[in-house]
Amino acid sequence: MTVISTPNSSAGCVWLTQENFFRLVIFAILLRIILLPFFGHVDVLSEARRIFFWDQQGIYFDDISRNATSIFQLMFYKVLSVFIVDESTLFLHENMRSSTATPIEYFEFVSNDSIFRVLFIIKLPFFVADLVTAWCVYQYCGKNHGARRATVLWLYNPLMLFAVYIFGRFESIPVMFCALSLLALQRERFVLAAVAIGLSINSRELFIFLGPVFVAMMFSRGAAQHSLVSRLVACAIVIFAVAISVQLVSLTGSSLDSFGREVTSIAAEGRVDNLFRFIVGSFLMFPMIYFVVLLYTWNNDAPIKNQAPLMFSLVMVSFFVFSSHTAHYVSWVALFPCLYFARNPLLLKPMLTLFVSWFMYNLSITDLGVFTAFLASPLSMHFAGFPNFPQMYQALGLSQSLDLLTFGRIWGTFFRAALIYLAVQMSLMYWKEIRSINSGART
Amino acid sequence: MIRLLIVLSCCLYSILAMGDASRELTVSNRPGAFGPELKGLKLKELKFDEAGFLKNTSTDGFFTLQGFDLPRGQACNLLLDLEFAQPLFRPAMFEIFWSTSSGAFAESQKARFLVNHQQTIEPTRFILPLCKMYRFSGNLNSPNLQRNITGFRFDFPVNRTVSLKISRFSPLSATELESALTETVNTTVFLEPYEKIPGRGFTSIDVVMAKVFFALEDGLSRLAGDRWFLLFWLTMILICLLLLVRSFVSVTNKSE
Repeated sequence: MTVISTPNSSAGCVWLTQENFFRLVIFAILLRIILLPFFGHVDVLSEARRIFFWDQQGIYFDDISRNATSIFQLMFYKVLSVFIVDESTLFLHENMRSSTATPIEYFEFVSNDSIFRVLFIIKLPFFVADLVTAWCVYQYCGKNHGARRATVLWLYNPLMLFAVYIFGRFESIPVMFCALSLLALQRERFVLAAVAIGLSINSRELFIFLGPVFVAMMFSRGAAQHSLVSRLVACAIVIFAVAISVQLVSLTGSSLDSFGREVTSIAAEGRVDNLFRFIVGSFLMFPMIYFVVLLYTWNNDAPIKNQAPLMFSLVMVSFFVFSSHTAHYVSWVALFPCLYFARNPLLLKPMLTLFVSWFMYNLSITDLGVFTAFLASPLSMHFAGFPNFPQMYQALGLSQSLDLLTFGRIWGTFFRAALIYLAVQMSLMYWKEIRSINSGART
Repeated sequence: MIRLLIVLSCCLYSILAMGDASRELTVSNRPGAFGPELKGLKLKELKFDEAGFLKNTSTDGFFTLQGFDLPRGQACNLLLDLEFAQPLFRPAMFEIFWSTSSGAFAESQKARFLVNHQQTIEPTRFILPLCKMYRFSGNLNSPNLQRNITGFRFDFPVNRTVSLKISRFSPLSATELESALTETVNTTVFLEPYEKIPGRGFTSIDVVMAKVFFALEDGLSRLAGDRWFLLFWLTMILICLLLLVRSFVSVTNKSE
């Protein structure tokens, strides 16, 4: 994206001086350090077990399509595990064929005396990835006043704070690779961008949708001015990364995983089923919009650095508008509006609407361990027994005024409306930018 | 201090809740009375070995003990004299259900408690203060929950290697607990019962305050237990705070 200053790009933010920016960054780090040891979902244990087994016994979970995430965590674990007392007690599991932890196993895990330091260590790679993403946002947006604003929004966006520091998942790692890819694309380093997006695809299953968009960009009219060789190499890297992700290529050279099971693909495991649940009429909404984005990208004559953030964000936004998903997944989308927020402070209100509606929507549809005091069970198991929002809603008799289902639907609608509004605003900014480039070229 | 508070609260509760129902305790307080011949005892996927240890034969073993008819005030504490055949590999979660004169065992009448893996294999006395629980004590919001206790179900953890000898399994009133505490035993451990609280329980400020207080007290005392980590973590926080303060001080100096 070319950095173009708009008339109002620094309006309303005169207080965000270099000094205040520094303070806000330090305070954001402080907030993260405070949160790191206390919260976690059952999945924290499942993931930690897998990393432990890979480290200790060379057992590599090659059917999960999260190779890059695992390697990134393993690098930290190799160094930091010396500070974990009695790893076997914490992570050893009899049957790693089913490595996903049960709530009872999780309760035993969080009852360990050293749980706070363990959670701190487990979440450190996510914390680092989160800060690297903040750095990418600052660099990408031009290290100016707008960049400071975008970085602050990133650092305080509750989507990522929840996903990483409360829920305890690794969502910051695929987002970091995606941000690195955008930064490389902005600087026209296509091979580097391909490596980063390849790592992103292999960090989280559904980032796979960015792969074909990347390839379409490389063959778009806007890319024609760049070296064919570098574009072909970049495409080959991304196609290879996609092939690994869907198990068409095995990193271990075998069709069997470390336990002797047949390696399956994300489609066979049903991990993409949720894409087909939101059917409107006879249309599969997300696939339909996705193909529109692909066709538009392929046919686009805008420079790649301008195309990339919009096309990636449209894919992500349409996924969250038209699919069912859990609360922490939404953190994948937070990066893109932050990048545009650097140039348009008017995106703040829709972003705040998105955060509030996301929070209220997920409060109302919460399931085990998501958006409940359960997540504080590492601090004390008592929290696991506290009622969640839907139970309190019923107990307080609020359902007599507005039933919980309608309450959830209303907030779900606001959430989707905020996403669509953001997508439209980002698209308008993109077209304005392209018009400006074209008129500049003509003159 | 915590023990004293527990004993005092149990005393107060037992005075308030003491019923006049006849007490028919079928489990003897005599050491060694807990065995295959015990009346009212039924085993499910558990078995006694020659040494009297109860061993899990699957991952879902439990025993039930029926034949009680106790007002809740007389069962405010559950005393368990346990001896483990081998140290636990990791903290083990046990579950205890209770049945009442109005119904059988149910998920809504259940407490979880954890036995720490660092417990040795020496015989240890565990005390589970059941009246700390919203569901059990029933004295907070729902007087209709105050039915007599008729039986207990004791679920083993999923860990197959757990093997334990029970030399005493006694529901006790607060005064009985006091006298039990004067008995000479190797180690006494007060366990913390964890329970699922229904939504309507949390509409009472009495329940919310007590539960949040217990949760925070429990959490902060655990955090204080890992001193090296606490020191490191507080140092990190202090560094950030110092950087923040310094940023303000340096600006003031510049302006001067």
